[in-house]
Amino acid sequence: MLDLSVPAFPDTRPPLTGPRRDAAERAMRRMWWPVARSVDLDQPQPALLLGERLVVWRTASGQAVVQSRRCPHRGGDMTQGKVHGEALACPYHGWQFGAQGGCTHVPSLDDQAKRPAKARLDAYPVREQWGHVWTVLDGPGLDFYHVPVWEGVALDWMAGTPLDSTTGVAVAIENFRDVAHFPFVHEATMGPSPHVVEPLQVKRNGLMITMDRHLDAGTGEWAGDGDCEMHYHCAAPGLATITYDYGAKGRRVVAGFPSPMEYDHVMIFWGVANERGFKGSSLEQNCVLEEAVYREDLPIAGALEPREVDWDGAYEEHSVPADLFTLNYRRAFGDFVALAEKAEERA
Amino acid sequence: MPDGGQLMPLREGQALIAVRILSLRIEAEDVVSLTLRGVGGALPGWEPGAHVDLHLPGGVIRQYSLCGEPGADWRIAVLRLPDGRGGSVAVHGLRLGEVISVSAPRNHFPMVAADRMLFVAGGIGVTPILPMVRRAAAMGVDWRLIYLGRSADRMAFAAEVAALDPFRVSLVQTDRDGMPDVSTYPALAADGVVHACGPSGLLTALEAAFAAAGRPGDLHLERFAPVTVTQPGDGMVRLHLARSGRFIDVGPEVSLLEGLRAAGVDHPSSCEQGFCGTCECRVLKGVPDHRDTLLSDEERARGDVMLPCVSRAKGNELTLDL
Repeated sequence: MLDLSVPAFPDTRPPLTGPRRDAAERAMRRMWWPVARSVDLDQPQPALLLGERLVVWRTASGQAVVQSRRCPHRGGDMTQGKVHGEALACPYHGWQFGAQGGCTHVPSLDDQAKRPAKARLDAYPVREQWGHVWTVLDGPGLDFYHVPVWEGVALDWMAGTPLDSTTGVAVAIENFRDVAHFPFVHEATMGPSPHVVEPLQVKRNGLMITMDRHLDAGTGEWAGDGDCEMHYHCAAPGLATITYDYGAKGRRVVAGFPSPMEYDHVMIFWGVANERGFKGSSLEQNCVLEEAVYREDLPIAGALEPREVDWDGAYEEHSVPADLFTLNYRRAFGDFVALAEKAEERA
Repeated sequence: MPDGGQLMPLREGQALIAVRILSLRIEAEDVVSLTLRGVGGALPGWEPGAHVDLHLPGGVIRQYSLCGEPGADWRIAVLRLPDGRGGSVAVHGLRLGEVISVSAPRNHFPMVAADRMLFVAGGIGVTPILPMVRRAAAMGVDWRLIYLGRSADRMAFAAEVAALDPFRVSLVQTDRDGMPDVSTYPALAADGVVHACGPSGLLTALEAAFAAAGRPGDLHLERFAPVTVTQPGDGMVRLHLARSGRFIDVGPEVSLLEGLRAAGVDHPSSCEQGFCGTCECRVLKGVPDHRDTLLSDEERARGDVMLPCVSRAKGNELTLDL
């Protein structure tokens, strides 16, 4: 498939600078981010998180592991390595490291007691959720996301194809839940949408922002299961979800978790989920559909200037009431940064 | 206002300008036009659709469209509304030669050029439309103006617009001709754009007509009254600016943001309707009367931030981190 995320011209958008941008990046190091799909861990996977080069792998006993990618012996790339039981072996000289990061075996040594004690990979906290492996770079980290609307609902998940987008996390989240762009970007998948946006019912509580919206089935494939109620649930900094409630048919979910490879360059991990017994379209169908929607967004969202929300206010920007969700998300993001700063003070 | 045409810096592009009233002219029943010339030098340029804030005696700030020719002295025209909020009456009380303060021009109603353009003006709504019509005529595009007024003696600038091209201007006197059926207007501008300004009822009918025609995007309009942010019963608010130690009294008809600006305080804003958060400022003392639509219940209860474009004070004193 044609990769629409690659701009046709050199990317000349200037990088963002400023104290609030820096505070945002420091705060993001204390938050959980997805770094791989659970289904891909039959092989060690490379990941990049806020500039840190990582390897994500699974031990023979099934534990997911997130570690620094560089072998501390001579710099081998651990993502080219092989899993030996509970350890990962470097592709260069076969040094092995356990899930906690310690060196467990150096093949060239006659006496394993002579292994360099300080040779280790940095090991990061791990959590598997919603079909993905999540990690956090700096401790103390902030709490993982909580989605009240999914409480007590049995959801079966399928992870979508991760999508590379040349934007920051906040721009990706804002794009996910923006409704005013539907008629301009998503006519192919969603059919014609009204231009005028009704007054949005946005609620914000701490880091959570929610909105309920009725969806009239248009002519697009997107609405193939008919009318529904859409429950948007987003949380700062990096969670955007829609739960589609079709009444008697049941519920389905699409969720996006853009993960910052660099401050202004995300890998959009995402997934779909169906309530067990959902009588509408299958997970596979929903995955194809939502990916088509995402791919309509990539060339537009990936070209926005600046690449990430400008927290330092150097860019002029004006808003209308259709932006209420965005404006509330930005306030929640500010609260997230403040929370992370408090955690930093405790550290 | 100190004489001498000193520029009072507010923020870039938003300085107050001293202008002298060069002429006053009766344009129609209850309509007077003012020609304004910069006291300290040439006035800034502007584009059709632009308006300026007039800072009137008593601290009242009102917006009026510029309706003269770009590049020349400024001209505004004001309909006297005895039951209004006092701005028009104050303007009608101004005298020849008087010096008043105005803002630099701002444009919330920019003209969208097209090969075919229909203009609809209702009453004093002709003021922003007039420079657009003049521009359209100069550009040589296919334009038409429908100017609605109760009667000929109440239609300012009717002769002036008709002189641009009498075949393109329709003057409709509703007392004599009745109200036209605006649902036919989308068809008059079949492949063009429409700019309209006038009474709320006319604009609402136009919006409905263009929505029904499936072309809401082709209609560009400006309503007379900007969103009113003050309420009956609002009192004066004394702002204490903690960083500068200044005290500013903001009158009951003026938003706190306008009050800050009038006092020369640089403060950012965008929507000025209480939803975007650009003008947010920290409250150090006093209890805000929140009228925005952005802050969460928790933030409201905490009361340590506010949006001064719409919100006021419970009690009449606030200390702001400015």
